[in-house]
Amino acid sequence: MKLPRFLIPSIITLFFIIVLLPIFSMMVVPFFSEIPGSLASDCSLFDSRHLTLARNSLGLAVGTTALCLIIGVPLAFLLSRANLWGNGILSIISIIPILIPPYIHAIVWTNLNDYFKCIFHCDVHSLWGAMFVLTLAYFPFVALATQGGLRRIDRNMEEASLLYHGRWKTLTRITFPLVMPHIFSGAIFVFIFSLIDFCVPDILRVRVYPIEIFIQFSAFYNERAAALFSLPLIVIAILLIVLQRWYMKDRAYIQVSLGLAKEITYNLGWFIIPACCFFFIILGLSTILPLVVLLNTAGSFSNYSMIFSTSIEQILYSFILAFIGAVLVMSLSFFVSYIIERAKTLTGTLLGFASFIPLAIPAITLGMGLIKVWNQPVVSIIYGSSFIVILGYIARFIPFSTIIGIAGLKQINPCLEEAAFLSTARWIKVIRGIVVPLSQKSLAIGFFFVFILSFGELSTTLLIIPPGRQTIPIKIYNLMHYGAHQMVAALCLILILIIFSFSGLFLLLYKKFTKNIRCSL
Amino acid sequence: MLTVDNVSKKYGNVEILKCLTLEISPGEIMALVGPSGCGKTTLLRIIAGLENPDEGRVLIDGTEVSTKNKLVAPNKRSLSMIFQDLALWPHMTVEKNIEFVIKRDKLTRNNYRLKIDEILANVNLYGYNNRYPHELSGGERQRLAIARALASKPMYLLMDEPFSNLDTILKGELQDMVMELKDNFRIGIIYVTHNIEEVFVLADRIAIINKGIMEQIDYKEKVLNYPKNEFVRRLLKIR
Repeated sequence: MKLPRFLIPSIITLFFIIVLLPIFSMMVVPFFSEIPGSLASDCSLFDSRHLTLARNSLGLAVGTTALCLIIGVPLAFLLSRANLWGNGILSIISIIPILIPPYIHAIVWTNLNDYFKCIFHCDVHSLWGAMFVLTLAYFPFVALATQGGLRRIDRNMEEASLLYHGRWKTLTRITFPLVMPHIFSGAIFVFIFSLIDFCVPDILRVRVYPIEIFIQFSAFYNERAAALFSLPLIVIAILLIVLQRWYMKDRAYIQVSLGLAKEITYNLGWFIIPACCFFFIILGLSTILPLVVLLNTAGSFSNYSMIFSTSIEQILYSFILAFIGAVLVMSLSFFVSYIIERAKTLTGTLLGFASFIPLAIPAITLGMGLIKVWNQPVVSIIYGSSFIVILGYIARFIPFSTIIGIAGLKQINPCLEEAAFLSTARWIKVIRGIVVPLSQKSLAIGFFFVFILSFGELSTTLLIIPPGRQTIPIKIYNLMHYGAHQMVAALCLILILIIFSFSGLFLLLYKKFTKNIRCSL
Repeated sequence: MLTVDNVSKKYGNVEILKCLTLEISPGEIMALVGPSGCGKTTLLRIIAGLENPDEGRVLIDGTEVSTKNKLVAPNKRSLSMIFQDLALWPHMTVEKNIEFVIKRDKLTRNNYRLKIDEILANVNLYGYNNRYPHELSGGERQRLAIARALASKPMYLLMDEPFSNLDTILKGELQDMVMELKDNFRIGIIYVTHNIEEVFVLADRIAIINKGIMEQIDYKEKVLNYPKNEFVRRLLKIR
């Protein structure tokens, strides 16, 4: 189907202004800025701290990725290929850690520092501590990517091998190599997220690049130095994204299918006991323990009622911002993914790459970029209002919704659109009548993820929140620095409760919704 | 002798196979014919050991290999299968696809390579060793699938509509190849197809299945001359 002439330029312009402009503006700051002082003097900052920061940042990213692979890959195989009782429910449970923002894990483990020291013989306020905490927050990304890959493998490939070899050889020689690009993708995402994460190292007081960027910007008001410190991270992350996209080629990152094909499962025999223990230990550390610790720290019911009554405005504000942000992200990313998936031209390929760029940008740097672009006299209405936070959500989270959108579009045969186009000349009618209804599942999943991510977002919001306003994560961050541990724990629990309730509601609606789509197909 | 004895299979409440029985000897080609969804592929999967029957059993040379509670692993049945979509392993070259299924026995490295070359030459793929499946044409892929299926020296070969997407010339070439293989290696072949012409070219015997029930099983001449009922007559276009 031929896309209308106006669509591609208008979407690309919108995408450029909202997503790419803040990023590019920060990347050119070191070279074209009018800030007093020279580039050379700012570069000298690198000499003293650069090596330590690079070592810490890379060490944190490599360590977290390795640990996430050690946990995430076996977990995905266990959930997708083993004869575990209640695989479906366990798969849903395994996603729960993703719903808890990483900084809450950091807060929890700060409270458990004594136990951490006892078990691991090191302080949680260390590189190892940060690695451990980030692993608990990010291993589901590897598990989800691997599970997506396992679901995409043609069952016949594995069965063809089973005709000649046992299950172990089939698993290692056929299944594993076929799912390797997905594992690699998950690992790259975790590596980049750990490399650019600000909140966890900040809470655990680990000196990494994002912390230095924040210090340069907010303590020394040195925008150029902050931008300079961002560059190594951005270069590494972009190189990794290029590598990852080359390796993944045209594969979808996740599976948004009806899941009708039954997957091969292996009988684990007696090994099912250690496998279940592994699953429940991971679940315990990443989900149950944080809740228990927060409950214990929050103290009496009066603390909840007090923090709730003083935070209603922030809760509503966070909810409204996240909701509007998710709707707008989905609207833009729907067209972005449609162009990437259907316009098989250079423009589509470039847009595909550009849509991944925000993943490589530290949230703090993005916040600085947003300030630089929107803090201008002509558009001051944006800078001074909540709209800048929504723009921040769009710029940060559009890669996630685009990934999901592309996965959904890949499963719609273009012939369906062509058939509709033959009977109606109106492009918008085809989109409204065919593509949107068939993409409902991916749109819903995308909306859900962006909402959850926006609701818990802290790093970018920290810089761009308008005066006199607070989101829940910002309030948690501020209370934490005042040392109000009980209030922090209570508010964290309230945040988690809202996220869990929203997720539960989404799951219920999604199930009903999926049934309707199946019936309609 | 491969025997399917009173095999039944259900998916949920839907009965796919109902008390189905057949036998096939080495060196014989049996065509399984029937409309879509009649249970042909399910029957092949049960014979291959990829699924258990709910009732009945499968025997290979008198040994019980599949019952409701017993399942001899597919790799211990000395049979091969060519899947409808061929299921060539995309991350392996032509040579690796063959090497993966071959039994090394006590062959030296050189003899082993010679053996792979010989197998590839048998299906006119000599010299394609380092190509990946996606670099082959449709016909070459079919030939690779046949070569892979034969590389493990099976006693029985199960073919699930292997030539369904090929043009007439290519189909003819591959049918000749299957006939040669049958004569040279004395393999028992169960061949699922929708194509009636293919049935008459390849098959020694025909099994006609409808809604999981065996309508007729016999030598092709007999089926042609004495169709058991109207369904068989219509399916085989017998006037």
